[in-house]
Amino acid sequence: MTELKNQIKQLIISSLDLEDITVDDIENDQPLFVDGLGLDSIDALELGLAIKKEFNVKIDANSEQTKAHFASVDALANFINQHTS
Amino acid sequence: MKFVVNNLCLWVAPEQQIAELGQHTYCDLDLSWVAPMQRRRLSPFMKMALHTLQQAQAEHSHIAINFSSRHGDLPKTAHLLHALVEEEPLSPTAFGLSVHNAATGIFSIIKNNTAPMNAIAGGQDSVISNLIDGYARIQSGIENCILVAHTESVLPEEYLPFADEKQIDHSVAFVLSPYVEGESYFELTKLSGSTDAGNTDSVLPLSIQLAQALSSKESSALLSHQQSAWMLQHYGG
Repeated sequence: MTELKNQIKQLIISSLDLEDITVDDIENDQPLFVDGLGLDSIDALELGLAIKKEFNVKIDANSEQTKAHFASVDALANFINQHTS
Repeated sequence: MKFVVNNLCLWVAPEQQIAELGQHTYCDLDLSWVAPMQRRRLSPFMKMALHTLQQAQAEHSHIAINFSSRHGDLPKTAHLLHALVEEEPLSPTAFGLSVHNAATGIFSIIKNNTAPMNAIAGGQDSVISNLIDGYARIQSGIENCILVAHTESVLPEEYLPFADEKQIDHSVAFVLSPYVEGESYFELTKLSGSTDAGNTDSVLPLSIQLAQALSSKESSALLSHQQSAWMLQHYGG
C-alpha cells in the first residue's frame, strides 16, 4: 500500500507539473484540493486522466463518490485498490 | 497610418540571438509576478508571451490587448495531435491552453485586467494585421491606447519543411497610441509590387523586423517578406 501511495504521489507531481514538490511533501491524509496541496478543478480532470491511464480504472466524472475518492492520497489508494484487484 | 509607440519590449531566446539586433534583447524571462501554482502550467511559448506583455504593460494596469501569432502555441498543438494519432486521451490542461487566446486569457486572469482583448492569426503578416487592428481601435476612440503583442515559437520538427522564414523563439510587445501633433511618431505605409526579400532561410520574421525598426528609430526602414512589403518611417518631434 505504501508503494501504491508513493506511486500516486509521483503521478500527482508529474502529471500536474508540480515544481519544487517531492513525494515527501505530500501527506497521505492531506486534502489534495483547495486547502492542503491547493489543486484546482483543472488538476482534477488532469489527475483523473493520469490515473485512468496508469491504473486502468474507470472514473465517473459526475458522481459525488468520485469527489470523495479524490479527497486525499489515502482515498485514491483505496479507490484504486478496490478497482484493480 | 501614423502612431506612437512606447514601452517596446523584444525578447529572443538566448541561444538564438540575432547579430543584427545586438545584445539588447537578451535577458532572463521574469515571471516572478506569476504565482508558482499558475506558473507550473505555462509552456515556453506562454512564458515568452507573458514576460513581454508584463514588461510592456508597465504603468497601464487596465489596458486593452491585441495579441497575434502566426501559429500560436504550435509545439503544444503538435503534441496534442500526436496524442490523437496514438488514440490517447487529450490532456485537458494542454487542450485548454492551446487555444489562440490562451496567453491573453491567462494574462487577463493573473492581472485582473478585464479590458477587451483580441487574438489574431494572419499568416506572415500577423503582426501587421495586429497593428492595423490596434490602430483602428485607438483611432476610432474605442481605446486611448492598446498593448500590441506578438509571440512565435520555432516550428516543431515535423513542420520545419514548410518554414518560409528564419525560425526564432521570440516575443515582442509595445503600447500603441494615437499620433499627437508635435511629438515624435511612426508612419507605416504598404508598398505595392513584389519584393525580393531573399531566400526563406534568412528572412527574419516580420515581427522581429518591426521590433528592430521601432527600437532603432531609423528615419525609414523596409519591412518585407516574400509576398509583401511595408515602409516604416520615424519622425522626431
